[in-house]
Amino acid sequence: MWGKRGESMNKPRILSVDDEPNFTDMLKQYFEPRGYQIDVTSKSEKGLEFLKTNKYDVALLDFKMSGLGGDEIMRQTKDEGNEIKIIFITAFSDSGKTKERLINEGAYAFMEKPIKSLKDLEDLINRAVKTDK
Amino acid sequence: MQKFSLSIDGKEHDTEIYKHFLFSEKLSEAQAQAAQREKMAVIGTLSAGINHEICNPLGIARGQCEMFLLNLKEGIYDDRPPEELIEKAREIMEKVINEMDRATVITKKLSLFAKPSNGTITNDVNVRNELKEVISFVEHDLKLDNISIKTDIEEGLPHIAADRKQIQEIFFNLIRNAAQSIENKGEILIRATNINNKVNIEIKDTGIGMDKNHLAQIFDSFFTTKEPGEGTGLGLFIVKQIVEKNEGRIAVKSELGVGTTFHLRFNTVTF
Repeated sequence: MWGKRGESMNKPRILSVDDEPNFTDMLKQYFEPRGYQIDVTSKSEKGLEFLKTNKYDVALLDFKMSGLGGDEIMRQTKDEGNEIKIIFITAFSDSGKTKERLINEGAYAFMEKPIKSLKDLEDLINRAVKTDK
Repeated sequence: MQKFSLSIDGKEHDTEIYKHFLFSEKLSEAQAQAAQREKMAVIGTLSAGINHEICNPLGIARGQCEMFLLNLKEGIYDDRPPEELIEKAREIMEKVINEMDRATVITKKLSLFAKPSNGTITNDVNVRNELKEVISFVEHDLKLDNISIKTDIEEGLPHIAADRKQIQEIFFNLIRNAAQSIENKGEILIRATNINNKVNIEIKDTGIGMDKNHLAQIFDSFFTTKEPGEGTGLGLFIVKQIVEKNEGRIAVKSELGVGTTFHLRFNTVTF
């Protein structure tokens, strides 16, 4: 694995659920060498299973997926009292209506694809774990 | 009844003619607006697939390049031998090329699909290919709405004599209509067979179906069962016009709560 030596392991633990495997693979390639623990899956049901069995600080969810949508994953996760920070990353766009709804339902942030920068996403994840919201 | 006359462009008209003139003008204005709404509805249907098939490759290509540059800048590659770095660069470039090719395919397909038909009937329209092409535009959207689409196309189906673009438009409208009639999850089954040297195509959905009253009006212009803003009542009206232009036949069967099946029939090419 490519990586920096002596990287701190106290970085947020991330789960990415997105039906685009090339996208989740890219996130894995970006975050792992930077010392983050990241699990990825392109199956929404598998994502929900990961959330039930593992402890994550941040979940990066696609909004529209076949099977369970990201909003349903968030609802079920929050219903179980999980305080994980949820960031939606999606190509779905409807003039901000869905973004507003998801934020009201407890999402931390909403990013539209194509994301502007992986570095911005990394900064957002680090801000998310530091906030109480 | 007393008649009044009006002067339009220096000519005298009685008020009844003038009222008729105004009514016709309003009607054609309403038709033009409805046609525009129909066009927007089609764009809406396609936009989710476009977003997915263009935004995803662009995001991945950009991310791969950004990641390589940041890795260089942050020293992640510092202790790696040069040949390993070259291998990594090659791997990234291949990924970027693949993603660019993926975005190019969808843009090319879309520009072909959007090109207006020139009304030319040719003898080489392959129903299997045209169905495959149209399904590729909508299948991502359907998958997200938990609608499965299945095809059962007879091997060696003869070509039909038709306008290829208009045939695509017929399939697109009927598949879109089928998808819109499915409320939660469901299925669209498309079957194509050769019966007595005619190509028969069935587009069957497990949607909400229609009662007899609705069914009788389904091909009328401006008839719609959809909510205001969701349907213009022109989609199936246009489909019927195009089918007839291509010397085809269209029929529909429906049962409330069970689903709807559209039947199409086209002449095959005989040499």
